[in-house]
Amino acid sequence: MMVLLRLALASAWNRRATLGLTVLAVALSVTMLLGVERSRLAAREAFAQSVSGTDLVVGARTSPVQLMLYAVFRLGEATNNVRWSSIEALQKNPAVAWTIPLSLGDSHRGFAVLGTDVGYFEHFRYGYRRPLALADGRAFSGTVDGVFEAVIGAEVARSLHYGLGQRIVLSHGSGGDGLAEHADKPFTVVGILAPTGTPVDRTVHISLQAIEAIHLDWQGGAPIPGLAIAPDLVRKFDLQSKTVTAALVGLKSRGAVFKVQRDIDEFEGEPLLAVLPGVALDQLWQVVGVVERTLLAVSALVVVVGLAGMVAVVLASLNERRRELAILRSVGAGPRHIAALLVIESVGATLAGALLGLALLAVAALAAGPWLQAQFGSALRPGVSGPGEWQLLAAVLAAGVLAGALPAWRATRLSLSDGLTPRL
Amino acid sequence: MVSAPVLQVDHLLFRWHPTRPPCLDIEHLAVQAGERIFLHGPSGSGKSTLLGLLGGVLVPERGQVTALGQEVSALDGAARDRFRVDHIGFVFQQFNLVPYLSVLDNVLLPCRFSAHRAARALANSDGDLRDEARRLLEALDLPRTLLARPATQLSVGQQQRVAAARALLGRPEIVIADEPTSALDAQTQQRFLELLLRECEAAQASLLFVSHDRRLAASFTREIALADLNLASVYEEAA
Repeated sequence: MMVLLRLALASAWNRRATLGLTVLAVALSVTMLLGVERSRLAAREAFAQSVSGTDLVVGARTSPVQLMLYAVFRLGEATNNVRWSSIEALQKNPAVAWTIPLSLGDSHRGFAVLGTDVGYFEHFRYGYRRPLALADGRAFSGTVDGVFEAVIGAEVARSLHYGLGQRIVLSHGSGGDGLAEHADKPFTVVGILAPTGTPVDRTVHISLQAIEAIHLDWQGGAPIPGLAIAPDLVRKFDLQSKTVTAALVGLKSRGAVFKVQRDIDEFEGEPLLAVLPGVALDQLWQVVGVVERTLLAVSALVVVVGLAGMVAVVLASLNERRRELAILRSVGAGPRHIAALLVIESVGATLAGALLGLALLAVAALAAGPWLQAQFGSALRPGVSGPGEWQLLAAVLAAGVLAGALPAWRATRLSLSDGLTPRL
Repeated sequence: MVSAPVLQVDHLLFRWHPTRPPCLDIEHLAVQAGERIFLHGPSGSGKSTLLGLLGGVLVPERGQVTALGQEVSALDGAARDRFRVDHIGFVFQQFNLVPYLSVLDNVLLPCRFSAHRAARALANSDGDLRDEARRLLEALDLPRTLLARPATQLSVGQQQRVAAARALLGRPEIVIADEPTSALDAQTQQRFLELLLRECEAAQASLLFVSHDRRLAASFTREIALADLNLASVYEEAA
């Protein structure tokens, strides 16, 4: 009924200071709720797109999740390596279009060092099948002459303030300080990759031969005493890798993926594991997902707190409004009109809060968007990002209706017992 | 031929709570068309409770309230609300106006809730509800400059006259005034009473005027003491 709507608006405007503050509280809680939801989706998307265009990830037999952790996210270490002969056998499989060998284990100031070949820059895809792009410089040459060349990810360059030509020393193993260094064989940065929002940003890329080269005079994780091979002498050695950590495999046709997976799982040379990255990423997200769900639950609680504050304010105003409600009763308003008036107020305040929250989030996304893009390679979208957000907004409004029911019930009780003469 | 009373109470019994003794026990009360009745009683004698029953906000435990031939006490809640706004105008002791509405919007309130009142108000003017509201306000001595003001900026005397205009807009058959002059000083009291009586007559409305101040009784056609009417003893909660 239009009359009630206009009355509710006029009445709310009359108490705009207190109601305005509650609306602001609801708005901030909605901003938080939707912000968490939006970051959650963005994070999930970035996560799911850490690797794309790769049909299989192959490594020594272990759990699929663990293989993904070290092969894609550079987390943890492989328990076993894959023989180079197995990679060669894989390359001969007629269904296989390309392979990218990955050799991990070393680090540079906390960033993973990845040994690979030039095919990496050609075949690796992330996001919606986006190829890697160089922000500056070039890929490493992959030749014996360019063995000590490195290509660094965007975050490595940004946080360590590295530019082209920077000389870097790699550490043996990964982890914190106190690692033995390959100080005798420094690398030169020849390329810097554009941000991807994936673990690539946090990786130092060198060639497989370079991995061999820096470990020529090492054994069992330490330099061999009395044996030091100068950098310019390494070309005299066979730098062909004997083992790698894992490999990314691209197929000529996706349809063959299960057959090739079975071939690899049943490979006779050594125990191997092939996983479909999408499936393994989903499994991995189940683990990480607990955190995001907890965050979402916390922000839902914040919304509940905001609405509880609103109920308190509306309830507190009722005593001052008993006279007003009695006047409305005298001009024909029934208990149901009084109830409707209060429900309209609560729902209106919730709606205003939700819209203001959306607007705040859009402003925040627009303002912080470029910065987020630069920092993380992914940005918060200013618009509503998915059906989940509409569901959350609907849930907030439904909670607003529920929250309005309490003052409405109380007002109805008051106006029934007061009749036309409130006993104040 | 004697026309039916506009307002009639028969064998009425009311108590606030089933375990308490009755607060009102009235055998018979009738208000004839055009009558101006002064209902007198000290505070706490159940006057306001009686008005609640007449207005259909309260329902008697026993007996009937009949208005304009309709047994109000037998109607359901929504129908009673409708009947109240269609046929009865109320003026209260004080704080009669909705604070966040303008003077004009306060006067127009009954027409917002009742198409019947709006239609009657329109029939009286030609074309605009607001014109009729302005005419009434002017008749009640309220300058036009006040109309757009928020109700809270008016003096108490002015507020009471705005309330009277609201009660009379759309010419309800019955006007019930509950101590409308007690918040006014002697001079404004007399002036308000004159205006109210004059406009009730112009609108051909029966007036039930409740007050504890018997000095005002002279201007009315009949005076009733609630104490004579009410067979129940008086209890403290019947304010």
